[in-house]
Amino acid sequence: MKLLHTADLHAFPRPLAGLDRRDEWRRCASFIREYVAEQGVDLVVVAGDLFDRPRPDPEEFLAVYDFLKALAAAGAEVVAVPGTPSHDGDGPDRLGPTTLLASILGWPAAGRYSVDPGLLSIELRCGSPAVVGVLPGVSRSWLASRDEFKDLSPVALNAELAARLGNVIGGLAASAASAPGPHILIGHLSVDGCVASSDESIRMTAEPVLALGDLPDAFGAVCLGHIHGPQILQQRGPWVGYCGSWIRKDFSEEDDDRGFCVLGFDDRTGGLERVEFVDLPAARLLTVEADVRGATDPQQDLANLVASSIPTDADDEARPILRVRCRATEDQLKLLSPRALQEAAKAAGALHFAGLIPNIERATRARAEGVTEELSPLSALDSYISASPDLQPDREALVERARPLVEEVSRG
Amino acid sequence: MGEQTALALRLDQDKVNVVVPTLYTEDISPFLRLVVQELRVNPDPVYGDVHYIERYVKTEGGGGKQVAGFMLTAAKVSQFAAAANLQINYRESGVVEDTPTRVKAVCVGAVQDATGDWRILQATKALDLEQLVKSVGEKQAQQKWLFRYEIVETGARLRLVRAALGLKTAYSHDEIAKPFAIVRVTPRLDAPEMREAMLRRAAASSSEVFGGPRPAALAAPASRGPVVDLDAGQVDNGLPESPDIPAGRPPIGDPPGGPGAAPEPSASGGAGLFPNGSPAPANGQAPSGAPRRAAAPAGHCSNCGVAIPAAVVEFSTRRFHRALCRECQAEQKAGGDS
Repeated sequence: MKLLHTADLHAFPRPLAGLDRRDEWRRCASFIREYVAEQGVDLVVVAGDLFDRPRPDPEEFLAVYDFLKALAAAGAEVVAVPGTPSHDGDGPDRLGPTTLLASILGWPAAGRYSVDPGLLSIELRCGSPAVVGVLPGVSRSWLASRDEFKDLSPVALNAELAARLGNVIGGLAASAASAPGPHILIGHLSVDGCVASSDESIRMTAEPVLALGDLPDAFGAVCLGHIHGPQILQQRGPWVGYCGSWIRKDFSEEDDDRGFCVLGFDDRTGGLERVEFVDLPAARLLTVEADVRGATDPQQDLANLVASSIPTDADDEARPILRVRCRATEDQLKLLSPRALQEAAKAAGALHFAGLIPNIERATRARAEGVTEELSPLSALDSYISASPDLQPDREALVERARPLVEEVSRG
Repeated sequence: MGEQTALALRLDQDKVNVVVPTLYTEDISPFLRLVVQELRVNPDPVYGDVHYIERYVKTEGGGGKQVAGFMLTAAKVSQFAAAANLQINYRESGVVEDTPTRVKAVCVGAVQDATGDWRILQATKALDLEQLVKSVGEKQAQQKWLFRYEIVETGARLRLVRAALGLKTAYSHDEIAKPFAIVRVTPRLDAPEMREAMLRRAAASSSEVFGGPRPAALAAPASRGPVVDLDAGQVDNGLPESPDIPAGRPPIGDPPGGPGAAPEPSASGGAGLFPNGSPAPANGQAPSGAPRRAAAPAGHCSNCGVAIPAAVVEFSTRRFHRALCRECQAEQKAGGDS
């Protein structure tokens, strides 16, 4: 049995430095559709955050629907859960637009969209059964709105929520225990040890974090969404992994891979046999670091550096969204033209130029001799004029102009 | 020999650091089993798992010497606690003494042993301004004093976890380079009684987190296979579980009367996370009778009593460790009453 694990579609991601990402998103969707059809994937699990905002527009709504429906049409069973309420929009009342996606468009035309925790027993096209536990994303505020939890600190509230999620997962495991076929849990949550794209471990201070021990080995695999960087937290007992999101939403995710996981299960025993990570054709993000402080023609040097950073034979998928971060002097900055750099990047094959970030080395400006903080404003002005030959002809006029201003400020 | 001890002996202690968060026992509940999770610690302090420390140790000749060591960071200790399923009782934990020159926090937690019982533990950490000044000097002491609540609360929690799991304060490089094998008690799912108990807990928790049963149109989607919806057929949460079935967790969030019932104040003034009042401390020390920080009713200023929105309560609790209205927060910030 072949399972494809994806999550964090975020249809559609916000533009990056003015670049519309819809084409990139659709390219990833097509890639998965073709993979499912060509590789004979039996089951696709989508672990939350289908949308990027809680009120998706019709185009986003239909893009997700078409994607799920195409997977089902390719012969795969599809199980999806809502993710973070701030993305998929479902509150505890389950009246959000993603629930609408499930109820209006109908199942099983586009697979199953489970807004409640529960257990699905599925007959796959390969003839094997599979058991899928589903755990939608939750919000701390749902629990905080209850009277008995109102006085708790965020950390305590997260602990309470994590404990309850652990109980729910335990119940799913108990339900699944005697069922035949591979046992899979899909959820949208943080598990201890996961690392966000900013390289920071997720801690209980920010959101509920479950321990690996909360994920029972009654499940052969725990397929998670929420964390955008793909990572495997545990190889067995059960396998626990995040497949990551589809596209790199900003430069904090520059170094992350983008793809999905394919898990192979033994048809007879239901045991997990292999895991493969498949790259998605998401646009690369590239920061070109430069130091042009010693350059005589910094613009040309930067253009050359940009050109050498992009492979000459790059196809559409390998063309990066590029930004340049450079150290320069103040005088050099005046000579740098972002527009010219943008043209150079495009000519070199960049998909988009996301900007020039100058790191300026400012010339140290010596304080005029004799001007100290102890001087009165008018005395300081007088000393400053004395140290500035070009101002000396206007000394009297400047002092006369400054006098009423200083008095006004002094009066408060 | 108990299963737990046998398991610990099967782990080669030359190759791993064995962390067993339970007391020695000959018995193991028929509803539980022991599982081992491996945790690795990166000895490079850059990765945030350890602090590099130097400490003074006594030598055999009566003298002493400075030796290098590695202390687990607070974040890593928390990871150990999670792996061992050590539960912190946040309702009973917090600052219990708060004077202008001294603060003290208590941390209460529980860890499950192989019999299924939850062993309640308590640890405290105090900070005394005068002693602080003596040890680090006036300027640094004042800086630290700004974060006194965080220091004592974190300190108490770390003490509790270290004591519960038998973690050392400092490890040598060779020790820290070995993986840690953490033994944890977990339910045996092949026992029908256990499955039933877990389902009951799951239903109660699911109802609290995901809401109660919904109208049919918005319930779980239709399926071609059977669906076990944890919300379907709500169980009576007031029903007691079989006394033989170990509790899946210390009764965190399950106030007297079952989940969903309003919590009642415990003997120590807390909100009753442990239903039978404040647990007996493991070290025999009586819990302090000092008022807890969160004694004010939620939604009201603990200083002037005026009603305040939840967001203000949350901010104030985080910033000032008690619920204060905006005006009282401003006074507090300006050096008013504490």
